[in-house]
Amino acid sequence: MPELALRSLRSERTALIGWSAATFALVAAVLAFWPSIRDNPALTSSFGELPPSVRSAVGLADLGSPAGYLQGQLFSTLAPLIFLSFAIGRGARAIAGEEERGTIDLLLATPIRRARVVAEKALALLAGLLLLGVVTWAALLVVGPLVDIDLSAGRLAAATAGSVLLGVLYGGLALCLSAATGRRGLSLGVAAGLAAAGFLYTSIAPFVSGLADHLGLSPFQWAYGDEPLRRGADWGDLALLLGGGLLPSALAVVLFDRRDVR
Amino acid sequence: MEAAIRTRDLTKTYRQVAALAALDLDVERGEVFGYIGPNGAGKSTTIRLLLDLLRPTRGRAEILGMDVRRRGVEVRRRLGYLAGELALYEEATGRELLTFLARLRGGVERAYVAALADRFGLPLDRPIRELSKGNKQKVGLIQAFMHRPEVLILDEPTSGLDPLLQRTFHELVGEVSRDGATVLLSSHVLSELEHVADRVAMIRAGRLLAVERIEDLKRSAPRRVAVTFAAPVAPEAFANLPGVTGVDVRGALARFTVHGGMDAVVKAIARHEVVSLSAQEPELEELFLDRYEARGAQGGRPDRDGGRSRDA
Repeated sequence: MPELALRSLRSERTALIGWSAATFALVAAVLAFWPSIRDNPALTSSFGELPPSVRSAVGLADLGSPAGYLQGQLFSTLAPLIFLSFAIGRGARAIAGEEERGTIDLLLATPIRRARVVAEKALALLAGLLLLGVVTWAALLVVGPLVDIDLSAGRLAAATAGSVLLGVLYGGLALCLSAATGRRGLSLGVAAGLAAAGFLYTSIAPFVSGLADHLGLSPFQWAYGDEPLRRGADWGDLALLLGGGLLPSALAVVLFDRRDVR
Repeated sequence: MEAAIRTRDLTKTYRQVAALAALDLDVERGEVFGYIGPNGAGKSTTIRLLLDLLRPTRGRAEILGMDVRRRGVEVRRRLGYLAGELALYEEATGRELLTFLARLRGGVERAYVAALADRFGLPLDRPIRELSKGNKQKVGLIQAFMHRPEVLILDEPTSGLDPLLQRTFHELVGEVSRDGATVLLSSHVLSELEHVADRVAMIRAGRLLAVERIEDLKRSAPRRVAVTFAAPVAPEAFANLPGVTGVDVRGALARFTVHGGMDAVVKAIARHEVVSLSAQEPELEELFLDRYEARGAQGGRPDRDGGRSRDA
C-alpha cells in the first residue's frame, strides 16, 4: 500500500476539497459567461481583424464558437493557472516541506528507501491533479449543456488532460528541485518562473518572427496549442508532457538519495 | 558478536569546519551508553550520521555489524530513533501517526503499543497539535520503542518530560536493556544519564574527549567531607591520612577532601565521638570536565561555560 501517499492526501484533505470546489466554481463561471459573449457580435468580430495566424495561435480564432471560446477563456488561460498553481505548490513542498517541518526524520528512520518517499510524494501529487482534472471535466459536462455548450466528452477530456499533464510536468520539476535542494521557496520560485516564461513565450511567439518556429518546444503548446477541443487528443503531445513530468521525478529520486537531510 | 554501534574515523565537515572529527566509538550489545556534550558539540551530527540522514565526509559507521549507508533499510528495521528536535504530523492523532509509522515498518504488535501508551499516560485519540510538549515527546518515545528494536538511538529523550515520566522512561530503558537491547542516549547534562547509563562518552567541539564507566567516574570522585565532633580535634589527626587534602579544622568542625578510598578516614574519625557527618559528591559533570579540561582545550572551543550551558 502507498502509505505515504495516502498520509499526504489525508493531511491535505481539507485543502483538496477547497481546490476542487474552487475549480468547479471557476469553470462554471467561465461557462456562465458564454451566452453573453455569443450574443455580442461586436466582441467576437473585433478579433476578426487580426491576422489569421495570430488569432489561431492565441486561441481567438473563433471566439464565437463554443470550442473557440473555451480554448481562449479556459484551456489556454485559467485552467493552466489553476493546475500549475496546485502542482508547483505541492511539488515544491513535497520533500522540502517535510524537511522544514522536521517530519522527514520520522519517515527516514523507518525501514523504507528514500526513493519510496519521492515516488509516493509524486504519486500523491498526481492523484491530486487527477482529482482536479475530473472536477474540471465534470463541471464542463454538467454545466456546459445548461448554457448550450455540447462538446463531446472525449474532446473535453482531451483538453482537460492537457492541463492536468501541464501540471504533471511543472509539478515534477518543482518536486525535483524540492528533492534536490530541500528548499521550498527556491523550488517554488524557480518552477513558477519557468512556467511563467513558458506561458509568456507561447503567448508572444506567434507575433514575433523567428520565435514562432520554435513554438513546438513549449510545453504550453503541447498542452493546448493544437486546439484539442476541435481536433481531439494529440497523443504525442500528451506523452511529451507526461514524460516531461516523469523525467524530473526520476531525477528527484537520484538527487535526494545523494544528499544530507538536515 | 559484533558491536551494536561502531564508528571508525567518522567525520563530517561543513565548509572546512568539522562538525564531527574522526570519531571512533564502540558501543557493546546490551549496553546503555550515554553520549554527552554541550549543544552544538556534535551529538546530533553523530546520531544523524548513524541514521544515514547525513553522509559522512570520511569514515564509516556500522550498526549490528551492518554498514549504515549500504544496508540502511536492514539497519533501520532493527533500530528505534527519537529525534532531538521532534516534529510530528500535527493534524493527525497519536493513534493515526503510530499506525502510519507501524505500517511503514510492516506492522508492529498492537498490544505493546497500547501498553506503552498506557504506561506513559498518552491520550491517543487527540490531535497531536493539541498535545503538550511532554505528551508529544511521549508519542516520539512510543514510536521509537514500539517495534522492540535491538538498538535504540535517543537524542535528548527526556526533554519535556516531568520527573515522574523521566523515571518511567528510565525504567523502560532498564527493561529493554535487560532484554538485550542496546540504548544510546544523548544529553547535554550528565546528571540525567547518571542513573541509567553504564558508560558515558563525552564530546566537545566535534571531538570525543573520553569514554568512562559511570561507576569508575564515581569511585574516583573526590568527596567533600564535613564532620562535627563532640569535642575539638587537632588538624594533624587527618592531615597525614592518605588521599586527604584541604584540611580545615575549626574547633569541633573538621572539613577536608578525600580522594579514593574512604577506609582510613572513617577509621580515623571513629576514634572520636561524632555528632554529625556528611560526605558530598561533586557534580559528575564538574568531575568530567575537570578531568579532561586539558585535552578538551586542545581541540575545543575556548569558552568553558559552553560545557555547562543548559539552554536550548
